[in-house]
Amino acid sequence: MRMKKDNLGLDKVHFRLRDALRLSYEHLKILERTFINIGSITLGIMLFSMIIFSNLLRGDYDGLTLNFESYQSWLIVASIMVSIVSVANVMMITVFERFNEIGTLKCLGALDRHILTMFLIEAAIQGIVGGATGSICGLFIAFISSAVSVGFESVHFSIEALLIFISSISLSIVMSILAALYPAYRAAVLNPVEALRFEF
Amino acid sequence: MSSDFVIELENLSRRFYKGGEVINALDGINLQIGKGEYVSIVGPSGSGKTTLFNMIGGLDKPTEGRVYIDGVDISMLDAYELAWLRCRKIGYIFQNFNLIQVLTALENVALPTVFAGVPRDEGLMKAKKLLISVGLGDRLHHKPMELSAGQQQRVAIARAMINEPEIILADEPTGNLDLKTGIEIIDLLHGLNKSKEVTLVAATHDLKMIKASDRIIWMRDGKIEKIERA
Repeated sequence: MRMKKDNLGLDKVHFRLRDALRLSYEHLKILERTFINIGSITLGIMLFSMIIFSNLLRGDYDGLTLNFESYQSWLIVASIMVSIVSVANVMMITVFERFNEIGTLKCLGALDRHILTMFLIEAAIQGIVGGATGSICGLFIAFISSAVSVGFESVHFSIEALLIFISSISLSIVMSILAALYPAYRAAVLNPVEALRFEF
Repeated sequence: MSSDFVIELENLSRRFYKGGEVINALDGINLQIGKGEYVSIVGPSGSGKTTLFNMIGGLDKPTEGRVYIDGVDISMLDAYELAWLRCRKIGYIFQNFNLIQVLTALENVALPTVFAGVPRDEGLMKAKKLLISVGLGDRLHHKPMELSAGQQQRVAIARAMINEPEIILADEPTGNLDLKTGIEIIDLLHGLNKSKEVTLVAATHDLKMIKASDRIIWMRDGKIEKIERA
């Protein structure tokens, strides 16, 4: 008679958030890909925040209503779409490059969702950094251009700037995770046998 | 009740369908491997060695037949249980080492303890001891790229051992190594097999490795051609 499963003393596999963060961080230290991703996010968010900051600094900001010109809305949508496609593209290449590693991690006990978590954390970190740099650059450019067009004394800061800063970073994180979803999913469901056979 | 065999393969078959053609990668394999045994699997490439490995390691599912680990049919396990099996029961050693390039030797060895839920400090301590025992005490913080092929394979062996698995599956472990380093790796594996009573199943072309083993399984076209006792 064959054994029941209990004979193996089965237990759970783990992947603590701290460990996922650490592994993601080690990968982000490979600067080429990280810079390209952060750069794409920065550019998208920079345009977004620049337009809103400009409106704010020139006094066109009206509480929650954003007084966009329609061409401005199109510019924002287009730039964010381009950023998402660019980040998704780089993430996809990253996943292909790491086929072997994904296969190995699965051999060592990683579940699909552990792999997914790892890639999404990488995307989120890039989103935070890209969002922060993008909105700082956006504010800077908006300040210069407003000062030039309406004069330095007409530029006025208000507490809403902080709100714009926070929403830019939030948008950036969402954007980055959205871009990484498909590549991360592809990585997560990878069959370890296929993954280990793959030579990049 | 416990089974005498750590690994049992029962009428194991694996077929692949490629371009309308059926390939019998494994064709009715029956094999039993006892605890602490050192088994070499030998055969030309395409004979089904790697497929057999993937089956024992729970990485691939058979088309027909069963794989029992410790008497448990692993086709009954769900994804979580299979992950646990890979993490705790089986250690893998690959021809191309498959170390994580961004991690140091120490972190690579400690990685399986992360999935096993061992506290970080304890995992790193254990990894350090293991690396010292394989002769890499002075290479703890080196990345794989900074290590020689032989050193990388030692790191991989330490990683395979860290969760104290019952079974080590080694796929051509000396395939990418020069003669002298190959012998060192064989000695290391053989030593672990004897001292820790870990069951070692190695696919190999290496005659020195074959000589060290207890049993040699010759494979051809997905079938066991003959079994020799060393």
